[in-house]
Amino acid sequence: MKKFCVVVVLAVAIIFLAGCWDAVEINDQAIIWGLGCDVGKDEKDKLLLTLAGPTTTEGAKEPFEKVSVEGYSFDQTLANAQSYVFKTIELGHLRVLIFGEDFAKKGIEKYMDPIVRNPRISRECNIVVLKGKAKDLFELKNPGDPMPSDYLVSLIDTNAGINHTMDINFRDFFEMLHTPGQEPLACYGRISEDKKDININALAAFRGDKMVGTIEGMEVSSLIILRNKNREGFITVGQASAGQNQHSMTMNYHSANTKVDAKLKGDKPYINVKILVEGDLVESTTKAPTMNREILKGAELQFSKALEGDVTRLIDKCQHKLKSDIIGFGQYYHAYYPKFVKKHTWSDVFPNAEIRVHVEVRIRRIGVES
Amino acid sequence: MKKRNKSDSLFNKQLFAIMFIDIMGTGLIGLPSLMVRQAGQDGWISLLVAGVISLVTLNAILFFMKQYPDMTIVEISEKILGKYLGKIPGIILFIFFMFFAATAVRTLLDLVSTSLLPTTPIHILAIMLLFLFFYGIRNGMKVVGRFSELMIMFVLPIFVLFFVPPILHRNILYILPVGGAGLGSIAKASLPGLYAFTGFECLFLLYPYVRQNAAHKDIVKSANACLLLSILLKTVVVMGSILVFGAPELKHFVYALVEYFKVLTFPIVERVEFLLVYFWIFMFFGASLVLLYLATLTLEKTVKKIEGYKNTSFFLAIIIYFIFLYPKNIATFLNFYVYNFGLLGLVIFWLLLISLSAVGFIRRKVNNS
Repeated sequence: MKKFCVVVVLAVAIIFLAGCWDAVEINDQAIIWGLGCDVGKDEKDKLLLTLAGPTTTEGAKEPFEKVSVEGYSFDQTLANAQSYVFKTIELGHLRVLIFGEDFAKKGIEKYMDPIVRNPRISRECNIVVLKGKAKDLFELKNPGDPMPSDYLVSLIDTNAGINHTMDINFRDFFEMLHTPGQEPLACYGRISEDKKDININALAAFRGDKMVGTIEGMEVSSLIILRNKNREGFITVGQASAGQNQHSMTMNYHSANTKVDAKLKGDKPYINVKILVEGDLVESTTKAPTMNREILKGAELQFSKALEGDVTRLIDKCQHKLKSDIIGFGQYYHAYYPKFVKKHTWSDVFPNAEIRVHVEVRIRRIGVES
Repeated sequence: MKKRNKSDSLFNKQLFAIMFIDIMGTGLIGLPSLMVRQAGQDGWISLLVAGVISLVTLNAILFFMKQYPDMTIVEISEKILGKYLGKIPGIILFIFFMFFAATAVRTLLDLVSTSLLPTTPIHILAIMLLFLFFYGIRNGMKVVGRFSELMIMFVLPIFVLFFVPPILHRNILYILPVGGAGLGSIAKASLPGLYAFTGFECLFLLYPYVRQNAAHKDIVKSANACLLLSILLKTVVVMGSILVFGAPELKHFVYALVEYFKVLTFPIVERVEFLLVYFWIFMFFGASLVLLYLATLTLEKTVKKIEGYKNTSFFLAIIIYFIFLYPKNIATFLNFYVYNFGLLGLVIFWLLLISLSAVGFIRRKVNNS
């Protein structure tokens, strides 16, 4: 009897061990790397979703496949997309989520809900707003990388290392969106006219979940310094190419430490920002010897003034043009003056805040020839 | 001291392992979100308050059990309250352990079916799991003790990872203003915190088995060390989660611990959260196994006729299968069961301690006079 029971138990166990309910063969999956969201072609209320990923079928002519479908909600559109894709759509490897500019201006939070709910999607997936349509990315013909999503992710990764953009992923975006006293940001890209490259040296600024404008060039590195997320960057003063007697100096900074002192006088916020930047002198086109203490001091002063100007201009743009606290000054008031922010809405107060910036630059190395 | 069967004894380090797995395995996966939903950025203070309450309760249990070093709580209550009335505490504790085990099983299965095996029927997962419980428990305390001891060696090094996310991604402003949520909210949020530290009550049953091999003061040391370590680790997770995500973002998460590990990526292990889920399945499994064993032990001590019968846990596993299916979804489960379970446990433990001590004291006085 005992033996019989053992045999029965083992026989039943075979049913459970025969395979996995959730097993999906890799060849049966349409692995999606990039997902683009745009407003509908004809009906502006509709969502146009473009899915693209590498082909997993042997002998396929194209290295990647893409499909564009319209619908009224994210999941419904995704289900519509499945009608055109013969393999199961798999979002577990999603690397980048792209929004067309028009779409980002309408507000994106409600379309991101299914992505946040899905446990398979990594929160490290990048968020990018593209000038024009998101689906244009998948028409890109970069000679170095046939996969547009892969190219875009690598481009962001490399440029984030030199403060040309920020490596903003899903987690960062939602954190910024839900944290009071701070508005969200996303990477911003422009496709070149010949549709071969993308310029990523910009960021999209949001108010709530709606895009309100962009910050460009030096404003991006200033913002990164203000947010204490610095990795490495450059400051250049002068224009050597402008004439025979014109010169340039460039500094490559490795560390930037920003201290924010938030105060309140009556109902008006006063903010003092102190920035300490340290780095190397990597270019000086003047003939003056840089082994001289006074000359280096002068150079430090010029770099400080340049950076101070950039940072002040950025703050002014955020306060008066974008009316969006993408820097996150409001967080200090939520932390240190909770009663004040309970009484006032930070976004209303922010444009009237008085903000002073002081920058100190220290040159640590001057290269191997002076 | 009454000598018990040698296979029914535990070493002090095994008690530490059983308690640690029981406490850490339950109530952590969604804890950070539950704490900040009430107390905002002060959720970690609420957890510390719950920790202190649990620490006081633990020492009260130890003090009480010291008076009866060779008896479980069921035997003590029968001695104090009599043969029939004395069974009531055993029945209450049995029901408590059964529901506690069912909540652990439910959390585990919800996590597995959400994150790993979405199309596998939850009933199949439950049946396989409950069979394993039965297999682990049927040979008694020694197996449970050794299993916990072995498991702790695997899981303890992984707890080092708990400290990494706040070191890499913290924003100190997220935790300010300290105390800003207000005393009322902080106190209210300590309820799910109480659930997080429930597990030390295993001493009600295991104390006499450890007392055979260890002195009272050693048991006090290891039990307190175990609870303090659990308080430290759970507070690190809650505080770390607030520092990494901020309370407004954190309260949206269902499985906050999984999100906590999603921020980590290493060159080879890019999705660290899946590693955690695999590891956490073991923790849940260990905790559920211990709880089911405690339920079995309580029943055996209450109904003496079935003592030594190896298949009791099989029938209890069937009952658990029906209990765990009852909550409709994870939202009902977290918002109702977890909120009230910790408090219910605390009330039961103190009622047992106070009523038994009081009746015992009166009976001693009457007998002496």
